[in-house]
Amino acid sequence: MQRSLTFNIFRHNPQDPASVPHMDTYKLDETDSMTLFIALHRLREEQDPSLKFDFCCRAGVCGSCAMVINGRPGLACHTKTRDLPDTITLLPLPVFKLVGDLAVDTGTWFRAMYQRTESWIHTRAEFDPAAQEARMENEVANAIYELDRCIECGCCVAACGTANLRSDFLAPAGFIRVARFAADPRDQRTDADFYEIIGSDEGIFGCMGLLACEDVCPKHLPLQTQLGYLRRKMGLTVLKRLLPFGG
Amino acid sequence: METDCIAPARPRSRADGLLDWVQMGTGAALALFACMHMIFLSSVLFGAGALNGLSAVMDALHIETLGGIGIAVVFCIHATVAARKIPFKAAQAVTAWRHARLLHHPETWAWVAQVLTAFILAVFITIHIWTGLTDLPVQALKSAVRVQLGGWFWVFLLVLPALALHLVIGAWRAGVKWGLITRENRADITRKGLYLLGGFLCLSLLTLLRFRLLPLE
Repeated sequence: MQRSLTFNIFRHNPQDPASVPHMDTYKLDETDSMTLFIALHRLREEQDPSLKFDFCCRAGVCGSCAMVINGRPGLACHTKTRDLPDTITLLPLPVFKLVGDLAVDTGTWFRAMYQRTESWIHTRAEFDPAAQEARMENEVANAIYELDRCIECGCCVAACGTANLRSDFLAPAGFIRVARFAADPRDQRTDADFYEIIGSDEGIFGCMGLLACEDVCPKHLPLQTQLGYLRRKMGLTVLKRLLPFGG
Repeated sequence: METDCIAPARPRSRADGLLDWVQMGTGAALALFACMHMIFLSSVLFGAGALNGLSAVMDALHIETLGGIGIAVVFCIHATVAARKIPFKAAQAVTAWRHARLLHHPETWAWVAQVLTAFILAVFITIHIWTGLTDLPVQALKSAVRVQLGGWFWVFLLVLPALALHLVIGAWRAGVKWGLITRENRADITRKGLYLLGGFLCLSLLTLLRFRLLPLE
């Protein structure tokens, strides 16, 4: 039987001084295989053309349509309305700057994170444009790819307790980025080098181990595994530094 | 809290890494002590003589005095170091509470419970350590008097569940942070943690009840 869905959607335009944050309610008849992405488009086309939300690929690849869905960060295009109750509450992701309604600016945050984690291969090897690309074991390539699948949706950041409390926290997206380069044999950075990036309470030692990031990641990235791995790595690095011969 | 950009980090030092080790080490030591202490006190379930006998041996070896002072120091260090992660500012506390309410995530609520129980433990364990250390050796009758006449029965009814929760959640989170709890074994260890919580609670409440019913002769 077709359901009538009730949408409570956060509305606010931070560019407009007269705008007051509030919730608007919409009704929509559910259709087969309806996703939140489809529902939001129908709401905008049929009821309220001023409704703002981000989208691009509608296939869980671009990460643009992340929002808080009944309390949990998730992708609108990945979420079927049949998996949700009759009343659906949609909020913008916290932590990120609000663009308007459900749209937030994740790009600036991620760019700053990439700069802070120095998200590129660090090598002293001289580049030879005529040489063949260095070969890599398939196992290693797969391991790097597994950590490189982040679509920058920001769900893990929004679900992270520490990231909600402090703006300087690197957050799970930052850690998996560091883990990606730590796994790459072409990157010559040492553990001590990585400690300079994440060896603090704004880094890996600020992680409280609540695992909300792991539970909401729409790409099921191995965040829990990498958080533990990096904490052990950095914990041992700081102990080594205490030793006179530890470096 | 909303930000258009991740804030720049401060210069690195060894302090945060070392404090993380200290927090986990002192927490593990206190958890181990709490379990030993509970097992020691629960010997009263076999009679007052059992507890008094054990206590006499420990007192003769000065374990109660030296251990008590040592634990008091470790307790102070743990409370101080772990407090740096508690959102004390009103705005932060409100953010943390709203975040937990919004997310409906068990592990996030567990952290809130750990913070709340930390406040309970900080107050009452301090008093407990003081009253214990100034009235050594531990004896069944002295504890029974405190529980039956000193109003400690009601205090312990609050403190024992708080301790059990704080201990089990703390151990679980340390396991996650250091990678001992993985995606594969998470459900299994969480279930075992709940068994541990139940076991600790049962043993501690039975012991409390025994002190409550011990004849004051």
